[in-house]
Amino acid sequence: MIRIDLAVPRRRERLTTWHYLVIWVCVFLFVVVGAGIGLVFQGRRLKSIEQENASLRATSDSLKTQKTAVAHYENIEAQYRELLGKIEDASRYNERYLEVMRLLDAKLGPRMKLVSFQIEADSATAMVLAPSNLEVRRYVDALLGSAMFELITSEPRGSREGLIQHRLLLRMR
Amino acid sequence: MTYGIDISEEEIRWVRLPKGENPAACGRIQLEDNDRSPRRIRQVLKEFFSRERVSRFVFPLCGQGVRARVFASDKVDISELEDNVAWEAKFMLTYDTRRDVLSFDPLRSVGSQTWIVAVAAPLEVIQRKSGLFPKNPTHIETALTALANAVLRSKWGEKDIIILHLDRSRGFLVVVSHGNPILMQEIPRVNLKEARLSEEALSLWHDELKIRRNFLPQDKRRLDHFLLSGEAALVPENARALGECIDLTGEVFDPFEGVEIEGEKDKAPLFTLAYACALRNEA
Repeated sequence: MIRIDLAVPRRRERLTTWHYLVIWVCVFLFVVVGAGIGLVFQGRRLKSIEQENASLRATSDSLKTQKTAVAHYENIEAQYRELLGKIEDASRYNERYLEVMRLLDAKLGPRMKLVSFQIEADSATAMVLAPSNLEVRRYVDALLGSAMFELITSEPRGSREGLIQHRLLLRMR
Repeated sequence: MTYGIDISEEEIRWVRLPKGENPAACGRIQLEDNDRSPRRIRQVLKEFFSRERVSRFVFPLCGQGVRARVFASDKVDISELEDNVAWEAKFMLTYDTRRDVLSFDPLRSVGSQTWIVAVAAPLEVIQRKSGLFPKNPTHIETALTALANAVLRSKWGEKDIIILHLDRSRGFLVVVSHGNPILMQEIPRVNLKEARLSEEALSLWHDELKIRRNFLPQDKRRLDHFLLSGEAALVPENARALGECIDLTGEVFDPFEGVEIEGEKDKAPLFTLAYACALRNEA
């Protein structure tokens, strides 16, 4: 038997309109399904972002609350420091007052009395009773010698309990 | 099982040869007169393949540049044989490597010579013909080699005979000598108008057959029988008359002789090419 064979691989068939239509439909379905899957994933991602956003919003609210609390605390702290300052000022005033008062009391002569005493920012006013103007004079000299006062003016203000009352205005250094 | 499928101008002829004990079968599918376009043939074949569940098939290629040549080579070395085939293909078959497909088969050796069959066909024709079928063929024969195989497998195989396969619009001539085909030619421009050949037609065929016989070597021109196959063979008188044209006894060639087959056994000459193609099942 003669065995010849002219078979060759068949060429690709030309695509008909139906083939193109089917390919188009397949491509369309592929795109639609792909887009659908993409949208689902995107939706999940968006949902995740939304949850994250909500979480961040909660954190932000919490931070705002904390910030308000901190501001409130800072306000309180400022008030506290202000109070401390006032206490310090008051303490300083008291110390000075006591110092001035101790000095005024310490320098009193025999039979002299310190009736009242008031202290200002740079001056002090004292009311003293003395048996004589001379004693007042000695008292003022003694006070000037303490180096706490730089000028003292004395004004007699009548008599009281048999003693001469003087009003002393003292300017402090 | 393998199908041999022969597409003629008017119909599709098929022969099924199963492996094993089952009987073979044959049949024809008529193509309507008003539509014998490739598209219609493709549609008919698709339905046939679907109905018969065809998986293996062989079809014969013919016409439009299908050439076959038988030649004797005194070389036995395979490389020299290939050189011989290449030479014959180039100069005798006008084989063009860019355009054609070539196939060859060494036949039996006679004396110091080896007979070789070489066929060439344009690639475009092969692709166009095989494109009619919904599947790739197992093999592609040529009508000439199929006709030669049909004879070689028959009781006429070892004799000196000339066989003409004549359909309405195609004709193939093969001369077999002692088990070898020695001439294979397609006859162009065949136009068989009537079932029974007229005197005028017989006169034309007388000249045609004489000319064709002159292609044979001088020592091979002595033949025993003339065999007729194809549509012309459905009228036995045609075989006798054509045989007488070249002074030979004319007979109708029956490819199914001795073969158990279902179908149109009474129209056996129609199935010569399809049957020979289906025989490739055994190859």
